[in-house]
Amino acid sequence: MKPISEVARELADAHRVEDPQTRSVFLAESDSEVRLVEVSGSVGDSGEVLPFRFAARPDLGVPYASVVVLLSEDDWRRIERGELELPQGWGRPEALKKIA
Amino acid sequence: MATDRDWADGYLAQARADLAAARHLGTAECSVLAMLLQMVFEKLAKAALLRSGAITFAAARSSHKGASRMIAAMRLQRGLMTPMGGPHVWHAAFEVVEALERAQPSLAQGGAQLEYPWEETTGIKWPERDLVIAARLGNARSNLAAHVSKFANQLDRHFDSIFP
Repeated sequence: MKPISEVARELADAHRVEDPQTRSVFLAESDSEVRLVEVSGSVGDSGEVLPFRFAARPDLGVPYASVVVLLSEDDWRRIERGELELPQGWGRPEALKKIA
Repeated sequence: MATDRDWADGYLAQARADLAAARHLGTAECSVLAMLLQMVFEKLAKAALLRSGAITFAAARSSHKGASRMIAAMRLQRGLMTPMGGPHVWHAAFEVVEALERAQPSLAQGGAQLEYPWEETTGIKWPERDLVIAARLGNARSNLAAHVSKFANQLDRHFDSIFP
């Protein structure tokens, strides 16, 4: 099975096609699922960190469940300043790996 | 002690009841229909958030922008909405979900909103007469209410496969 990091990059690329205003995609470490933090100019500021989990879709080349947090650029800056927190267990923002 | 999954199931069940009420009401009282539809999507979003396993119950319960963020996240997922006809079919419904969310009393910042009267320079306004999104849903020449209701129904039907 493909490693999580490879699936994450594929998802990031696909999401950028769906949302061309995607500025950055970060991967949070996990050994069981793809955890993505996506910063986009197409979503408004919410002041909230809202994770949505999607099922694995092996038929579409996605063999892991994925959890996506969509953030505006301002919300992302608030994450960096420590004013908003990533989901528990996702680590600190500086530990995220930028993949797109 | 109830789990997040239990709470998610509760939100999902109540969303279904709200949707049934919206269908029963139809467009007769367009502002009430708008309020019910907003409640449907807000509860579906809270159910989806709680099923993520990555948010506390308190945070999910107090979220105000979950519905629009749920739609945005769904649109990114390749093939996810294919069983529902694809994302392009539901473009008008997505816009309505966002408009309804903006009209929540907690987000409307004293302006036009779903539930209570508000004041403008021209006087007091109230949702049944003056809320634009409610009027659009109640317009007999439009099938927008039916379209949004159908989207909610499709989302409900596929909810367990989208947000397992």
